[in-house]
Amino acid sequence: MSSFSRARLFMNSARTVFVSYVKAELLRSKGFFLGLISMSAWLAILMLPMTLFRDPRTPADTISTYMFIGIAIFQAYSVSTWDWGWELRDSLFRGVLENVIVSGSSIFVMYVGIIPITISWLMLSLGITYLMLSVLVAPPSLQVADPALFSLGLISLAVVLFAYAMILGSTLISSGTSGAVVEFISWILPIATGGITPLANLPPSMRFIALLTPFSYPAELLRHSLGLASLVLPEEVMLVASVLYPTAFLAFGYFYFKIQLRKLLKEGVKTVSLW
Amino acid sequence: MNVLPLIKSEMLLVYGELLRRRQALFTYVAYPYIMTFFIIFVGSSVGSLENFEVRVGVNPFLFFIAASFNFLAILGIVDDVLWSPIYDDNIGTLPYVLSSTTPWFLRLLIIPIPRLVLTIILGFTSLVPLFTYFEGVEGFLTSLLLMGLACLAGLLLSTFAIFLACSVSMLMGESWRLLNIVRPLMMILLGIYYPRVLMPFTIRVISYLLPSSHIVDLTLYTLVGGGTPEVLTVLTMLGLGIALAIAYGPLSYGSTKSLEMKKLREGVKT
Repeated sequence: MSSFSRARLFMNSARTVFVSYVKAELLRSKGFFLGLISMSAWLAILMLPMTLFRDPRTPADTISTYMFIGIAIFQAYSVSTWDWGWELRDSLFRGVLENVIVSGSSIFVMYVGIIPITISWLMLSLGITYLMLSVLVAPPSLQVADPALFSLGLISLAVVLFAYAMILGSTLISSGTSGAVVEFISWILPIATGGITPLANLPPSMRFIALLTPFSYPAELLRHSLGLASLVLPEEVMLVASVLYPTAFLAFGYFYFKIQLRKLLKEGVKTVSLW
Repeated sequence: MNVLPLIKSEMLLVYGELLRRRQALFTYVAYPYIMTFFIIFVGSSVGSLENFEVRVGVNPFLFFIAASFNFLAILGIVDDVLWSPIYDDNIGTLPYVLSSTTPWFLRLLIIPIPRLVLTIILGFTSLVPLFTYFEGVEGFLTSLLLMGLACLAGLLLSTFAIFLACSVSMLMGESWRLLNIVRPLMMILLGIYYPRVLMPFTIRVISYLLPSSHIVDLTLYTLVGGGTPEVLTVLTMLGLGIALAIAYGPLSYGSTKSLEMKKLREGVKT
């Protein structure tokens, strides 16, 4: 089969995944919309107490913007954990993954097919977050001071999260780890890697740990491009690191994924617990 | 009817599940710390701990560990009540529940009892270490008091939770997605993370209708008062909470019966 035919087959499979998700989640169960309402209610639980930390002299929109960016990055981590990483584990649990493997189709169709759903979910959830912050605190003032840096930050974040989802997903399918562990990771990771707060605000030891991970660089670039934080490293170093580190992380994620998949095919599917 | 065998079987189910799913237990124990850390971390990056203390009057670490503990303890006690109609429907046990000689309402009512042990475990892993660290022996005693209040808050919410679960199932079918909207709203109205006194008037009025919101408020008074709230305040809050829980009794019984009749009339969908 030629490369062109393989690519066409891949895209057709990804489209099938996309269409089936749209039908199942959007049209049949309305899960997409109800999930958004639910998420906004859970977000309110977390956001309301955060407003109590506000200094009355600090403009409300500044606080709101900080909170919006922190929550946006947390949600981006969250979708890569649950929509991509966990989805593989879930499809393994439902017996779908074995069929995908037997059909000869690439597992990546599951990732690619879900991307449009994930992006639209993320956009809508950010819209809800914006709305809630506007009601509870003040409308966040999102002014991109450096569009090029902002774009680089976004691309870099997407690459890092895709690589992370591959590592998480392949670890889950090869080890059968339960949801409790994943839930734990999904909370700790954005905090520990400087995703939520500017690196300058972190204690030095935590900042050092955050800088060792590829997650901190895109988050820091995004905050800096929005004029919310000054960089803790020189801009040139930050730029190079934001390109090289995520790329290397993606390459590592891809190879790790391949190794875990090979392990899965050799040793068989691990027994997974209910949750 | 002897309820002890029912409680015993529920206990065996809960504790067996607990020992089998140790990772879930670990997450449950870790959650108060994760949520406290998360809120304080983000909160202090957009403001300061001092601002919080001035506004609320309590050390933020103690406030949020107590709030996170309350949150998980109350959810741990009543969550299975809320999910019960949906869970039984999904796994196919609802026909057996309905045809059993034990009233469904009674089965729902005893669900929270074995889960109180979880509250105690959670209290000793979250409240006791932090309260003892910050306030010594007095903090230890306060944490024991807060554990008792959380158990009471969970128990008093039971009748309302039965009413809510059965009403939602009755009106909109067994939808876990809908319940997932109702649950967080209920937790907001309880005023666990955001004190009721700071809520807008209309929301505060709705909050007053929830039995456990008064006990949660009492927790806050305990924290602000350094472990010794005024006797009149304690009695008023407890009285309101207990009276409301009793008042929801007939409503929850009625809603369970209505759902039962609906299921018997329409059949259980598989």
